[in-house]
Amino acid sequence: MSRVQRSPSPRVNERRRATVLCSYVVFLLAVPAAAQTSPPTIVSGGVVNSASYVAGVSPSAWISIFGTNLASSTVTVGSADLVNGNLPTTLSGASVTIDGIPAYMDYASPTQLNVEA
Amino acid sequence: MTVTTSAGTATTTAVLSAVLPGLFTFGNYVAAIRPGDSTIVNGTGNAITGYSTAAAANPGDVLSLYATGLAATTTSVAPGLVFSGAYPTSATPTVTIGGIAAAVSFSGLVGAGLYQINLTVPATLDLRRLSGCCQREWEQFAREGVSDGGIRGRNSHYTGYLRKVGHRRHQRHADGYGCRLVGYGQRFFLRRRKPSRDLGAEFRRSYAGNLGAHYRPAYRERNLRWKQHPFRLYVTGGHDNDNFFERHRRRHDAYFFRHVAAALTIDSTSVWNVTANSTVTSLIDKSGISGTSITNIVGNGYTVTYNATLSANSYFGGLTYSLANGGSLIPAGSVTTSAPEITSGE
Repeated sequence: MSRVQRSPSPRVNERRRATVLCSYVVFLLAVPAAAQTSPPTIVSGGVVNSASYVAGVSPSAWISIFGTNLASSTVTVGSADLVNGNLPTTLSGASVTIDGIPAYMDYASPTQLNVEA
Repeated sequence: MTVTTSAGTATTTAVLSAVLPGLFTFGNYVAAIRPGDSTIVNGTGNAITGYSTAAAANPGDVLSLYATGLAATTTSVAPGLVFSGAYPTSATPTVTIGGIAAAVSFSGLVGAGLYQINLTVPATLDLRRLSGCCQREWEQFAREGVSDGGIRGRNSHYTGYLRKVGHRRHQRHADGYGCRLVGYGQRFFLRRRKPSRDLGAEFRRSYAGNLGAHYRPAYRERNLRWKQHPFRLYVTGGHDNDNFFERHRRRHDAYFFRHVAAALTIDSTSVWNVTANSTVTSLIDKSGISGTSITNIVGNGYTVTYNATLSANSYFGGLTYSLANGGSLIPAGSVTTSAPEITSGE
């Protein structure tokens, strides 16, 4: 059962569309895509349970983080990304820590990260 | 929580909960797999490449749901670890469907952060939607029919027996109309009028009827008495159910019911001698299993089909078994798509 990547609200959707549009512009102007130049932001209330989209974090739960400039490209983790049998803690140039502990990553895009807390 | 990229960091705070359950969904519907027939129940029935799909589950179906945030497991598993296997959760979640608790048979971690919940869809869902009138009819019926009043009106699914009882004033008609449903705990009784007749032959044709269709016994099936016959009765949703018991009471012995399927219990001292290809929904015969053979069903070369999607049949494991004296017991799909029939239950 794949997790569905989607935004939690129309408001975020708008941001996401806008960001995607922006990304295309950057991409077209600077091919190949270089490292990110804009710092990431996390939208207010943008940390949610990946399945229910209820705000919050729980141990071993999949968490979605919504924002902008969160990663340089859209990547879903593959077997080549595994590190010693574990999911990676860095994906598409992004990494996440929760209380200082690296979180394991499954999906990264400029507007959404899915991590296991 | 901090997100770090080459361009900088972003930090926010979030509430940390010990448990934060969330069920994965397709659109607005909980995503479920029905292992019995390897179908994805996705709420819409929309096709998913490579898989069979169904819009809805049936009462009694065993489903697997997928979730995250169900907290600790009895055996600790490090986050991020890619593993195979399953680790039960320390606490079994409560799952309700339509406000009714579903029996959860398993809850555990089956992948990094991914939990699976196996449950049985309550068989009582649909009668909750019935009108208050029907509910009263049912309860009144239960009181009149039996002394213990054990029937619970919200049960829509019974394994038991049907019994013919005729109202005295209508006895003459009753004999011609077959069976009357009466409650006895959670059983119904079906009795033949003449015990010397072969019940299996009487009922083989259509007693289970086509699901969703009215049942009206054939003429030869109307004179039934004395013999009890294991039976599974479903009374599920549909507009006609509102009048189901009303019709019942008016017609006394005329039965028109929906969603009927056959169930069969064979105890350790009984043998089922199969005389035709047969279909049952649930088949309770745990004492007869010996490896991949069934010792107390004499197949005589015929095929018996059981409903592999029912929890009652889960002990068969969806497997095919060989029967004594030839024949086989094979799994089949959903109860709502087949027209099961009763064969000999003696």
